Amino acid sequence: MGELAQQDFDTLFLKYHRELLNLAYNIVRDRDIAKDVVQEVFTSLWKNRHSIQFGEQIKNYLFKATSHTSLNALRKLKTSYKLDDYQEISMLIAPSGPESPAYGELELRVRQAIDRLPPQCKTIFLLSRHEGLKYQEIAETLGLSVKTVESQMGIALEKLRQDLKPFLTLEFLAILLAASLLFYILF
Amino acid sequence: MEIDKEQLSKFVSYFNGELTDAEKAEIEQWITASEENRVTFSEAKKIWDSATVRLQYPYIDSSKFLIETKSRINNTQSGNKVISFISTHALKIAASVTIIFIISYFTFKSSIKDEIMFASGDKVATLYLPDSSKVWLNVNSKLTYSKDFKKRHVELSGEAFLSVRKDTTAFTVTTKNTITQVLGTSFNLKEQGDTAVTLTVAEGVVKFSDRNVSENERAVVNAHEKAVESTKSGLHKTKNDDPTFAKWRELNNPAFEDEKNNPQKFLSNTYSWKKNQINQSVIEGTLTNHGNLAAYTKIVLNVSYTKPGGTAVNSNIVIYDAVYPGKKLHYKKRLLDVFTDTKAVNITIKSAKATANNSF
Repeated sequence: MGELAQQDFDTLFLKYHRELLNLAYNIVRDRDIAKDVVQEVFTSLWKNRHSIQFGEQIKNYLFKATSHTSLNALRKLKTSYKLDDYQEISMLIAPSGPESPAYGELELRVRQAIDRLPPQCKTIFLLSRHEGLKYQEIAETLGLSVKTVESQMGIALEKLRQDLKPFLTLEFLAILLAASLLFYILF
Repeated sequence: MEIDKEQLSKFVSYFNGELTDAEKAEIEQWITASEENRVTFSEAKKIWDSATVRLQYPYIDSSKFLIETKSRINNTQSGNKVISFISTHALKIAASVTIIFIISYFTFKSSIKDEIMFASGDKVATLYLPDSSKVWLNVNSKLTYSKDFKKRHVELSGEAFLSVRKDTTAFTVTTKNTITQVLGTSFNLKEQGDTAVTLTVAEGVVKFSDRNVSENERAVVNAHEKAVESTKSGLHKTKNDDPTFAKWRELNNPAFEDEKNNPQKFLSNTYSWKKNQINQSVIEGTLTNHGNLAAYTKIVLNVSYTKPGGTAVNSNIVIYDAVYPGKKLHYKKRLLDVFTDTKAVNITIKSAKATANNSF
């Protein structure tokens, strides 16, 4: 590694690794794999350092590479998550600090349902919802056609809607309200 | 009914405000077209609005992670390139260099011993050797042994009391002038200047010899005996009538001070309690001394027993026997509670006297 390039590498790494870890973690939902993904991204960055345009685009490159690598890692993951246990998600979110918002029941249920989506659907949905990417940008990031992204997004929303049906109806809200009222009266 | 996926995907653009006015109007028209469409839309919106949970990657040590990543980069680089362009000739040279390196490494390694040295300074030190033998090192003394401790061998300069763990192989202590060999005993070894060494045996049998003289100048020293080896007059064995030969362990020793001042910390007490046939409470217990040096006597136990009414009665029982370091002491005491219906008994250690008169 050359002196100057080495330093640039360190700076880039320290600047972006957290953001990228978060991105990868949200997609693969596994700490070690997320770490692995980020390491792979920086490894290929170093290997391709002669052909990569450093500058403003570098963040874009890292972001794309992380999304892509995460999706591939998620596809390779054979184990399905046991996300029936609702507690798990609440626990994962809990320690993020005092400024983290308090999530409601529905938010947590939606997050669970997102984790149950097929890998590509999930990645596209997260890139759209969390990273605010447009279809065109998602298509570029993952190397897909805009049409595919659009239809995958449609599939994602439909699957989520079917999955979450019991939690979206008014009856559910009524039950929730009744339960909390009962709780309030009893204790 | 199967919902049009394309319609759903357009909602997202709608939520994000990415649509032209015409496209927006088209969606809104679709929504109002039927009750079912309206429900679909509102459900999709609810999901979209609720999909806010972002997981936070737990804390990570950034600089450590950077180092890990770099070493991974280095590994992948050396893994797939280097070998390919090295000729077999170069490999042969590399192999011979490696062999020479390995040989010289082992030769070099055997010539330097991996040693551990303890020096006590102005406080008595207590230490454990790798074979669990225990050593008290007097002030201004030094103990050296090899790190692997394959041979049970220590080198001493100064004074030490050793309590050697019994084993099948001999344990050897060398000083400048003497060799002491045991299997498992306790003894005190003291260098007096450069000219004399005194061995005092507390327990068991110890072989003691001059380091520089032939095999036959060797003494077998038993408990309550001592032997002096001096450069002038050789090796002499006598009876030991000084019971305080190891008392130095209690002076300048912060560990002993601690044991002396805090008997509660080193004494533990387990007990059971029952009423006997004449309705007297009988307490049976065991005191254990977890200390290294202090023996405890005059152990005052506070007994508090509860009467049926709930009032507690306190009384003391004193145990005059000594509990020696690492040993247990059984006791049995009766309470004067024949006329009460004692409900519970609670015993705590109140005080104890540390005695210098310890056993080995």
